[in-house]
Formats: sequence, C-alpha cells, structure tokens
Amino acid sequence: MSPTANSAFSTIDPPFVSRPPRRLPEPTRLLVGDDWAAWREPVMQRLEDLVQVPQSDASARPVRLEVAHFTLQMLKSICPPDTAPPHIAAGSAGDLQVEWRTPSTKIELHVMAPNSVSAWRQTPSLANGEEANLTNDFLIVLRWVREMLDSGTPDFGTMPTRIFPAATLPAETLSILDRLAYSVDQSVVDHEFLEKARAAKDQAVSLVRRNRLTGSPRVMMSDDGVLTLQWRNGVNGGAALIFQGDGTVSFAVKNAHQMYSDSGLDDAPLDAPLPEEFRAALKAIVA
Amino acid sequence: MSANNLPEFESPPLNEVVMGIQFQPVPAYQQILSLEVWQLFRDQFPVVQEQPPLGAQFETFGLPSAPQIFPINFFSGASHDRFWFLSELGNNLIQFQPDRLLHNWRKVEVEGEEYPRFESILTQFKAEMQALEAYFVRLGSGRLNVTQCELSYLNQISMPDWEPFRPQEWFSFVAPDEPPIDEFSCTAKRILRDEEGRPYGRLYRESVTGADRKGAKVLTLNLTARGRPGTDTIDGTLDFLANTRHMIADEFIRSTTPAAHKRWKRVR
Repeated sequence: MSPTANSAFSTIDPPFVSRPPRRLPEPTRLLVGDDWAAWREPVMQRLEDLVQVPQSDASARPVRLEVAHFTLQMLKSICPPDTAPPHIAAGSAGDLQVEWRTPSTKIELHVMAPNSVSAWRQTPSLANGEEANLTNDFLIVLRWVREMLDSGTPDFGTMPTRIFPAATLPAETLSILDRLAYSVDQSVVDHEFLEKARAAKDQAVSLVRRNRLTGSPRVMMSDDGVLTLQWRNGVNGGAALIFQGDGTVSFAVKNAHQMYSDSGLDDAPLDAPLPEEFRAALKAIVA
Repeated sequence: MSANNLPEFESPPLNEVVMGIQFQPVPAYQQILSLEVWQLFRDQFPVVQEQPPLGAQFETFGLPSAPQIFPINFFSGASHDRFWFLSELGNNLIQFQPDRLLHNWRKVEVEGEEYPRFESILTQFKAEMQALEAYFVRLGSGRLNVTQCELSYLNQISMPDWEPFRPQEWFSFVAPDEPPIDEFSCTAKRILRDEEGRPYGRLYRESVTGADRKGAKVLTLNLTARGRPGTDTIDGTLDFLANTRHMIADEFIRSTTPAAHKRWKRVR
C-alpha cells in the first residue's frame, strides 16, 4: 500500500535510504509514451551540482535545497517534453536563475524562494519585454514556453540545444531581489494591507530588476504596506525609493543641502526612467 | 457545508489523520539541536524514533502534474533525519525534520480510545507549531515561513477475504455494472482555487487495495488536500486546514455510496 499524495502516513514503512542515488533508476517499461522529457536529466544533474558545489564567491550562500526542489517542480509545470534544457545559474543568496535564449526569444525566471518567482520574457513583438511575479501558478510561463516551441526557432526544439548562456543579473541586484522576496512579513503587515504590500513588493522587484540596481539598500515594509528601499551614505547622504503598491514610485534624495522631504519626485510611473538626480545620488553611494 | 452539519458516523472507516506544514528551513537550526526540539514535546511524546527524511513537495500549476514514481532528493552534503515523537499509546505522533512539522493521529485498538475529532487535533497542532516557532525565534531566527500545508484522511475498509470484490459497493465513482475484481487502484485530483479563481492547491483522492499490518485485505480511501496557504503564517495554516477539512468531508460523502454510509452507521 503506498499512497502517493502523502508520504507522511505513519503506517507506511518507507524503505531505508542511506543516500539516494545520483541518477533516478529507470523503471522497466515496454511502452515509450509522451512523458519522457529531454530536459529532465540535464536539469536534475545541474541542480544537483549547484546544491553541492560551493559557489566561486566565498561569501555567497549555496543554493538552498528548497529552492532547487521548487525549481524542479516549477519546470515540470512549464516544460513540455520537447523543451530544451534551460541554462540554470546560481544567485548570490541561495536563489536560482533559469533562462532560455533563442535568437528571437528570451525567458528568464528568477526563483527567489518557494512560491516567489519573478518571470520575464522578450520577443520580437515585445521589445521591452513583459514580466510577472508568480507564486505557484505558472500557466503564463507555460504559454511563453509553448509559444517559443511553436515559433520553430532553429536550434531549439527536441534536444539540440544551442542555448546561449545568459548574462546573469549582477550579484548585488540579486541580493536586493532576495531581500525583497522576504519583505512582506505577513505577521507584521496588517491583514487589510497585505494585498497592497504584495503589490508594492512586486513593483519594487520589477523596477530593481529592470534597472539592475546595485548597492545594499535597507528594505523596510511598514505595517500599512508601504515599501521603502533606502541607500545610505554616512549620515548626510541617501537615496530612497518608495512603493505604495499603486503602480507608481516616489524618489527621494538626501544630501548636505536637502532632506528627503525637500527633494524627489512623487508618484512617477513605474516604467519611467530613473530621475537624473536619483541616479547620480545612487551612483555616488554605490561607488 | 458548515462545521455543524459535517457528516458523522458511529463506525467510520477512518484509520489515520495527518496535518502538517512544510516551511523554509531555519539557518540557525542543526541536527545536533534535535534534542531541544524533542524537549518541546517530550512530556506528551516520550518515545522517539528516527526515520528517513521526507522529500520536499510543492503544488505548482501549469502542465498536468504527473505521478512521481521515484522520490527526488537533492543532497548538499549533510542530511537530516526525520524524527517521530510518539505518545505512550502510539496513537499520536509528531513528525519533525528541518523543513517539516506534522501531527498524526492513528487508530489504535485500545478500549476507550476514539477519534478525538478534527478540532482537538487542530488545537494540538496549533500549539505545536507555536512552540516550534518560539524555539526558532529563541535560536535567533525568524518566525515559521510556511510554504505548503496539507491535511490527509486515510480510511481503511476491511475486506472479508481475498476473493474478488465489488468496489462499487463502497465507491460511487465505480460503475454499478462492473464485474468483481481482485485488486483496485484509482487516483483523481482536483485543483483548489481561491475566490478569484486562482489555483493554490490540489485535492487528491486515492484508493487502492492492500493489506493491513496483520495481513488482512483492506481497501483504502485516502483524501489529501495540499497547497500554499493564503498567508505563510501559522494563522494562514489554520485557515487552510479548516477550509480543506470541509472539502475532504464533502469529497468523502460524494465518493462513497449510501450503502456504505449505512454500514458505517451514518447519523448525520
């Protein structure tokens, strides 16, 4: 008797496993159906390598096991059998980036934690790309992958795989994104503002990712769901981004001549270019 | 179906109930501290056993989920056992590993020991989650960050012998004119959606023939709800468990026959 939905029943006696095999045993079967997936073996090998091998940056955290498990489960939900294996890279905070690049399409998935994924794609008809912040529903990414497969791009399809290794986001950007992933502390934010807080977090992720912001900002979420990223430079310098979760962002800069409240631009559209004053202040701080 | 009109039986086939959470491992916790975790529960759970760890499970949505024939585990070097903390009677147990906490109630053949009811198990599980969270906070880590919740009811129907049998006597999802069979296996999954239609979990219904611990033939009906809680906190977990408990009760009634209800002495 072996219920598959729940392995936690106490009446089930699982076989003792001292150390699981590196490769999955292949079941004996006579029929080869559509469930054999070309991507699975190289992906599993890659994930296993990433959770075992220390990163080149000694200060970086190893890929977290739960992130590897979640990534594999996510890929099962979005990869039809003919999908080529994606390029998978470790982030600096135990996170993972999953990417496909073909001559016409880029799909990037940043798995920050279980149930916290930032997805982005670019196609010829979407020059600026489109993005989505996802939890465990990946139907939109399944559609992206299927469109990529249907586009019949040379070098992409059943097995072959000229996948260009993608340039990953800067380590500091990933670090900010990782902190943002945990910014909505549901035990701190008042329940009525949770949706607003989640929207603020998602919008911050989009802006940080698109602008590849670096440095080490403080990430602060208020109990009413307002998210602030603050870069500081001693006591007199600083730059801040404020997200209300309403699709806008406010910028503020502090220096020897002005306070945060005296400067900045309020309620700018998220996709607007960063104001020059903010950009210069941030550059000075990060430098 | 409200809490007051949940079905009730004098002689239900219920054999085991499991409620549990999967959470993000706490960096400050190491296996050597497992004794301290046991101390949290030792008064009521004085017996300890070691078991192989459970693999991580996540409900995600996109392509239909395929059955996982072999459990997949990535190893990063150090591994961690799963501990069973058992009550003296063995009818209640806590399962703990760095990313899991589960509470099982299971039927034991002891005079006067009856199913303690969902509310009672839930109250106990809530206290256990709170105790573990407080311990992690004392270690210097944050609160429990819950990634998945699950609730399972395992029903066992005793078969009189090893002769062919008719599962449609018990299950309404089997055609009435099916001839008798020797063995049975059937799985169905339903996606659980929130008020806005967004998927967050699955309800599994699995039935299979097997043998109990004494070798007698049994037919099982295992109902499991698993998914992401609305909020990743203990409160979110409690909401998930309370809601899916009603779904499981509803599924149990829908998938079993009136004749079976009569044999189990349905009173409500």
